Amino acid sequence: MKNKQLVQPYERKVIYFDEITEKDVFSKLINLEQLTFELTDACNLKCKYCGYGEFYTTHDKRENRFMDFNIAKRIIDYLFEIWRKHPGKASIRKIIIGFYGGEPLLNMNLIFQIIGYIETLPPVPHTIFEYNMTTNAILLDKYMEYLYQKKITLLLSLDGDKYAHSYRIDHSNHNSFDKAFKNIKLLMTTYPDYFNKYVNFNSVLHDRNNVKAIREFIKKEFNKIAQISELNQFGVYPNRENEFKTMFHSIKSDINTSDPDFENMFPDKMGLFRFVSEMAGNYFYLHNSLISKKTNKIPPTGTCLPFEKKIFITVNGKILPCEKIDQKYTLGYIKDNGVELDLIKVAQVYSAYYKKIIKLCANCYMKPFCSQCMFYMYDLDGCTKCPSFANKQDIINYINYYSKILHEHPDLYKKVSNEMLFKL
Amino acid sequence: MNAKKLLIIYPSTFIWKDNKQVVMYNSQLHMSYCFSCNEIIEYYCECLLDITNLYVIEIKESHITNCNLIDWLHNIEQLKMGYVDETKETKTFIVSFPPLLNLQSDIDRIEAAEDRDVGEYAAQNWNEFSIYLGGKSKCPNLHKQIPYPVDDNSILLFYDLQAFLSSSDNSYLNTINIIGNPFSYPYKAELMDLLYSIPVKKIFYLTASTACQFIKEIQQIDLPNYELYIYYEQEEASIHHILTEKQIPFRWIYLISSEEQYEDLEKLETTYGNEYVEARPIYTGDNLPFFEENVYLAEEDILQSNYDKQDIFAHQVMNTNFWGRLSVLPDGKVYSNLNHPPLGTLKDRVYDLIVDEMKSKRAWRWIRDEVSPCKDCLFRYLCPSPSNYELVIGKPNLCHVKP
Repeated sequence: MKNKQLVQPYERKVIYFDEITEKDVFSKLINLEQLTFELTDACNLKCKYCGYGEFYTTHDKRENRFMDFNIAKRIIDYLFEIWRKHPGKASIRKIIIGFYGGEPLLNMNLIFQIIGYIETLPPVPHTIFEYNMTTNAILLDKYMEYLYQKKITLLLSLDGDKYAHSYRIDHSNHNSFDKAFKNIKLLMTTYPDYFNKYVNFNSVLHDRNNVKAIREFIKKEFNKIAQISELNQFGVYPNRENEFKTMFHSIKSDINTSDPDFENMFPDKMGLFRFVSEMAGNYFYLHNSLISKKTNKIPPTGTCLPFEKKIFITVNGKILPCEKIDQKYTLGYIKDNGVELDLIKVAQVYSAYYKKIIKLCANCYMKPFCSQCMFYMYDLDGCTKCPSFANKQDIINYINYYSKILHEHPDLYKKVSNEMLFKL
Repeated sequence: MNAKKLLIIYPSTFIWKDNKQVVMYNSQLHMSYCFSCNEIIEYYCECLLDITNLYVIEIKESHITNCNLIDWLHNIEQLKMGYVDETKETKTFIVSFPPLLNLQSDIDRIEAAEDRDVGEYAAQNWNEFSIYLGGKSKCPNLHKQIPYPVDDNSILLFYDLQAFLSSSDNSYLNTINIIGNPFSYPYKAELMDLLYSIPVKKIFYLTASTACQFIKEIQQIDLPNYELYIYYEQEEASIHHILTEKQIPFRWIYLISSEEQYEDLEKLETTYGNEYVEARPIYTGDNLPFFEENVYLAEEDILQSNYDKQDIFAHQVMNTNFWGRLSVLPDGKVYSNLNHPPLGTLKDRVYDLIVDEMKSKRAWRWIRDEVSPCKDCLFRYLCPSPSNYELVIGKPNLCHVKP
């Protein structure tokens, strides 16, 4: 990068806040976007790379449990009371009820109960509920009629063709591709409009597939653009690291920027978006950000504020801000006598982490571009180490990487600037 | 290998071009460069405006000795619009970042997105609420220019006001303005309780003649975070003295409509101090020359406006004078601008009115692109957003520039 006015974007001042209050946390509950239930920790597959599987240290022991309806009911009652009393910030408050697992379709009965219960409650004014689910599609043939009736948005896990999908195995070690593929095709032909509007794909990248092949396969078979995820590198048992490294493939290294179809294949538009936003200074979230001259204070790292995106309820009734983080960061519990969620304590926990992390961030060159979740830092409660910490050379490499992409694919500049919309 | 000569424009530089001229404006350094094009310069300007070149263009070898081009490049460097670089490297990825607004709350983009709703940001876009209480007014139409008491005998229905405000999340509001004397309002206690319950700044707009009563009564209640804006009518030393003594935040608003008043204004500023006096020009119907002389902008004023990138982006998408503001008149009608028909009444839901306003280009999004002749002017984003003065005078461009 040789642009003289851009040489030190990493030296741009970033102003952090290190304290949040009960009011901040409560405001997130009022405007909650998603309430996700881990309906069961059981699964009809045992995918090799599963985040709850053999490689990872960061989850509770899987014990084939099924969530009790009362757990779901208590948190629904708790949140409905808040939503009834407090208008949200949106004209129409849209709340997504998410079903997650294990494999959520193994606890279909609870899905019937939760949706049925919400439908019997007196409506919350100006509030609508939608449903979504992440599923491996193995039981799709059995329940598709209900999913279609309730317009449940599906995120289907399919890693590509049969070989690409071969880490997704059942308990007899058989590749689950044939069953999943057949069921997805059945859904597509039975309910084509629903499939078109409500069905998405997630493919995990590893050593048996690649971005291009995944994208081509999903497009050809289902006329969809697959969302591509990397394997989670956090919390891997030290004695399994070598095996994990063989399996792990990063998106960046997997795709060639000189590929003529790069712009369509490039799955890291969010990374490019963040890069362009910071480098160009063209990004503004709200109209009011355009007229305010106050420096925008941000929390250290890219961690969401508590319940900013969602509230996640585990099969045991633990309350977490997200399904992706270690359950040792539980923020509350659903117990027989109700919901135990001390918002003051939640604010204090986050504030304490912020204060600690800010010291680490001080010397990091990645500050303006940071998307690191603090719960994915090593030893957050002890001698914390950030996996995204960047020195000067790291940031130069980062800038060169995205500059090269823009240089070779300048159309992406307009696309990330004018076409990508996020609900932040 | 011969070195390539590249022209690189800074990300803070805006380029606007029409058939006659080109304006470059560095929004970080507030410097400008206006020029007309010959064929070669026209070619390079068009290249710069092609977003896919990312503000980096190669100077053709055949043009390198062209005197006009050399001068042009020199001016670009001197005036800090960009710089010329020579590179022999083939693997250097030189890119710049043309100013291209990426506004996540952009209404047109959200309307076009299938799974999004303009109302998502309703509360966050409501900044200011003005409550006009009514009564007698010395200048009955002045509220169409500035927050001045309105001449209206209607009594604002308090319970409608209360319901209106409780239907939304008010935590994003910055200010509530109360125009007129709240202590003459039949529901004064209820109104004060309501104001107390919303923790935002309150500004009371009063005429000097009602200020005495107001000051006496406001001291009896414990209302935090408020300020008085008192329309100056005549020498009011006693009021000034009480307010400063009681440490009540306030300022005098001096209405100015002619140059003859400058002396009086200066006297006021000298007596009370600049920090206590704010002058607001008013259009009386027959003082256009005063506005032409004192309010209208010339090209030099516009180029010296010192707007930064953020301001220019704002001018491209929103009216910075009107954005986020709602007003209610004593009859309960709610407006985004008092010069336009009402959006609805206090019986409506705030958010519905906000969404309606956001979708329209009536006030909040009334920008110079909507106004002729401004929409054809190269300087339009360097101008302040259209204001009430334009509406009241009936002339959309208060400037001396002829596009």
